[in-house]
Amino acid sequence: MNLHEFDRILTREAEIEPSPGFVHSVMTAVRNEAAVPPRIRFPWLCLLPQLAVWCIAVVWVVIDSVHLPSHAPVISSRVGEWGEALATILMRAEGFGAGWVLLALVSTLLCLKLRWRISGWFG
Amino acid sequence: MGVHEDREDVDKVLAGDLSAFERIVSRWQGPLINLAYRFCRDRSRSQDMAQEAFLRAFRGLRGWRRDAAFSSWLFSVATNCYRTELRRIPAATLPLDTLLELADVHRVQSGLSDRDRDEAVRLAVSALPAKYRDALILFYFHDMDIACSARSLGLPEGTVKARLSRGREMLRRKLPQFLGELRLEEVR
Repeated sequence: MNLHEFDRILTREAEIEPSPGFVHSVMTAVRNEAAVPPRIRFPWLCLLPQLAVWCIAVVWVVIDSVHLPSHAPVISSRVGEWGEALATILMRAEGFGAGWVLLALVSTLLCLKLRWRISGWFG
Repeated sequence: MGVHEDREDVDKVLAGDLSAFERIVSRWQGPLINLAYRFCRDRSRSQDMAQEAFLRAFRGLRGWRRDAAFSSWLFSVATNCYRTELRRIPAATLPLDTLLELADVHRVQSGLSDRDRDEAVRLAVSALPAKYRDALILFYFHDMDIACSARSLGLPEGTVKARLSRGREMLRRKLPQFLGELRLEEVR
């Protein structure tokens, strides 16, 4: 068998005739589809202010932590400075219940994801 | 197929005339069912898949940009639909290695007729990894037109050529008794 024969086999397929009721079946589905009211889109605009507030809060915590007067011993290495900054941020965050805020955000995201799945938003 | 007819019917559907969509379905039912069959190799399922493709086309009719032929857009929608459907429920085909064993047994027992050989080659294409299978199916469905295949797959022509070459190479390796003399040539 050469390449041309291989081409011939795959090009020459038996034609399948549509069943007599195919068009009717499709049109029934199309009419049902047309009768359904348009899908309500997710209100992203309503979510935007909350996202903006969340971003501002995160930025504020970071900036505030970085500008704290440092009373910890000065560590010369760059890694040490970053580690210290991170530790300060985490301590600050813990101070106003960031863990709970994080938990709330995660549970909100899970609820949204569940809602999308149920309503077939991505489906 | 009438390019102008498609355009006029699409305009009518968008204006709310559903009977125009019936004409579109009547015109394109054959090609879409046959394309679906090449993906799933099941006559009954191919009709269900084609129906779903028409529904998707109806939903997305506004997305057809008039710079391309309606048929190109429709085949692209159908191809996406069929690929999604096969990811959800794969075609009932055997792995290439199993096909090979069955073909060997059959050939030893009774000799392999041309029809059996042809069907085995087609089944072997269905058993390829999806990206090579899709390229080969579209290429042969569009009478070996790479540009049309690329449009249906939404891929650059070079990518389609590469996948065709690789797909044929895989078939050549897996089906030596059928394709032993197959020489890989540059596709067009």
